[in-house]
Order: sequence, then structure tokens, then C-alpha cells
Amino acid sequence: MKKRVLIWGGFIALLIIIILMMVQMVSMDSGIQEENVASENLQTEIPDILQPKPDDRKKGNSNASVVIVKYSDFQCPACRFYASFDDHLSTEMGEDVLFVYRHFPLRSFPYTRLAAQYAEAAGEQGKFWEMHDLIYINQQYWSQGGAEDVFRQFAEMLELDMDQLREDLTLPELNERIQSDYQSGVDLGVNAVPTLFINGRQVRNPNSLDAYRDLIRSYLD
Amino acid sequence: MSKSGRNPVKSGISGNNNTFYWVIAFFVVALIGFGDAVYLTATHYLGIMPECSVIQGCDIVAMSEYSTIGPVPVSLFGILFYAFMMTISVAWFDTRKPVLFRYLPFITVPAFLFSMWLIYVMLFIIRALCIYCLLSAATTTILMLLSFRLRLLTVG
Repeated sequence: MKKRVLIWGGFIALLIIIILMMVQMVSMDSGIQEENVASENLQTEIPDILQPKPDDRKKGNSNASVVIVKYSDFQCPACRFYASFDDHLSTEMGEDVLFVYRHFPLRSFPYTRLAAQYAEAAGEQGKFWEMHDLIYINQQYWSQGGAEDVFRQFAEMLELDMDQLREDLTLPELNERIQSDYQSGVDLGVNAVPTLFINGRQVRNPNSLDAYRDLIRSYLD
Repeated sequence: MSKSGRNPVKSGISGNNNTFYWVIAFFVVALIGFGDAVYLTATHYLGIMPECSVIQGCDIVAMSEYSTIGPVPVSLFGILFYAFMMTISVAWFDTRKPVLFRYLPFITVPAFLFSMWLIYVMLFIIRALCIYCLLSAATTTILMLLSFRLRLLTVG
């Protein structure tokens, strides 16, 4: 009997220890992400690197009290979710929030840089967000291959000037802009996408639309 | 004392010393899988991207739509699976009943197939690999192989 208690007791204790260890590891991993809730630090200055730049792709009210800078990749599935969250929330809260999109194309995706280039080229004709939405919504489709043809179709759907688009795609400034976004992300220590900064602080990615909305509201109050 | 005997060395019917070490191996592999699954589940519920240094893509895989079945993260099923595998091993240490391993492949084979499906999803659909998910697939595969070995050793 005593042996039985020892075996099962030891087993349960071992499970509890493993669980505690892993949870501890995860919370240590989160590091900076811990300070997620907008608190008294609201008034702290936003570092220059996270100030919206004139050439940033922005959506919402430029004078909003809440500025969300997102480092994102067009081919990353998680980014697709956050793109749809942003789309919802910019319609809902666009008066109070400024959404800034910055490119952080990961090397592991074959078409992500091309997608960024097409979005930027569409942006030259004032249709960055339209292209952005089409690219994300159809991500699973073009990720399978033939991405460039699909992007060209998007451009036609958006009635872009195709000659102009072709020309813009070759502009070195276009790549420089993507690269400078990427570099600013690296400088900020971004190592996963999407990474969100709200009013200059990195936040833990909310895992649902409601959680995201609540998080933004906590900065508005 | 049960009929089957508690001493691993002397018990010839329900397992010998050799079996004892196979069960230990089974338990240890399940324990590794368990720790891994707890880690992934914790990242899910705490809303943190799993950190990954060896292979890129943990965040991508763990945040993809394939990482959950409805609202439940896949890794939570992993926790249940590994916990059950460990419970079976511990029950064997306790009772030494060979019947415990008789039906084990009926659980480990579907788990293995499910793991293979997840690998397929990672390679061909999400196109990103997550080291924690690969580790889990490895432990599931080893558990399946061991489960056949244990069944053979104890049931015959």
C-alpha cells in the first residue's frame, strides 16, 4: 500500500513540477511582453523609431491618441488574422486610433517580399490598403504558387495603371522603403511577426478580436 | 501482493526485468512529450509566441488556424495523450498487469497518424516548421514503436 502511494504520489508530483516549470519558462520567454496593460506609463514619450513617419502606410486618424505600429509579413498566416482584426477595428475605432503598417518580410517565405513590393507599388497609386487587403484575404491561394500572376490580377481589379505599376516595381526606393521598415524592426528587436507596438510599447499579441479591442480600449480610457 | 507479483526480476508472467526498462523508456519519452505539449499550450493560453532558435516558424505554426481544433489548442490534446501514456506506465509499475499494454497500439497508432498529418500541414500548407511540434511528432512516433514492443513483451 505504501509503495502504491509512493508511486502515484511521485507521479502526480512530477506532473505538477513539469507544468510549473513550463509555465515559468513561458512567462520568462515573454520578457518585455509582460507589461501589456496600459498603465501609468501612458504618458511616456514614444521613441522616434516608433513615431509615424510621413512615408509610413497609415490608416485611421493621424491625430489619434493611440498609435499602433505593426510589423507584419504578407505570407505569415498569423499576420492574416491580425490584418483582418485591424480591418475590423479601423472601421470601428478609426477616429481614435492610427494604424501603421510596417514591412517585416521573413526570409522563410518565398513570395512575401514580392507581395510587399506589389503593395508598395499599389500604394504609389494610392491603393496600398486595397492591395494589402486583397493580398491577405487571398493569402492561402497565392502562397501555393504563381503569386506574381495573382498580384497582377489584383492590380487589374483595383484598376491600377499597369504601365505605371510595372515601372514603380523597378524603383529602388520601393525596396529601400521595405528594407528600412525591416531594419527598424530589427533595431527594435522584432523577431516574430506580427509584432505590435501600441504608443511606443511592445505588447503581447492579443489572441482574439475581442482581446485586441479591449487592449486598445485600455489605452483610450 | 497481487498474483502477478510486484518484483520485476522474479515475475515471469507479466514482465521481466527487460520489460521494466522498456516501460521506463516509454515513461521518459512520454514525459518529454508532456513537457513539450505543456509548453506549447502555455504559450497559447498566455498569448505568447513560442520562442524558437533552431528552426524558424514556431510563431507561424503556433498561430495558424491548424493549431487549434475549434477553441481547443492541438497541444492540449497532446497533454492528455502523454499524460495518459504516463498513467499507463505508472499503473504498470503499480500492478504489473500485462493487460495494460494490450490495447496501447490502438491509441498510439492514431496519435502517430495525427502527428503525421500535422507534419504534412506544416510542410505543405503552412510551409513553416516548428521545432516543438517536430519534437512532439518524434515522441509520438517513438511511443508508438515502444507500445508495440511492450505489447509483445507483456502480452506476447
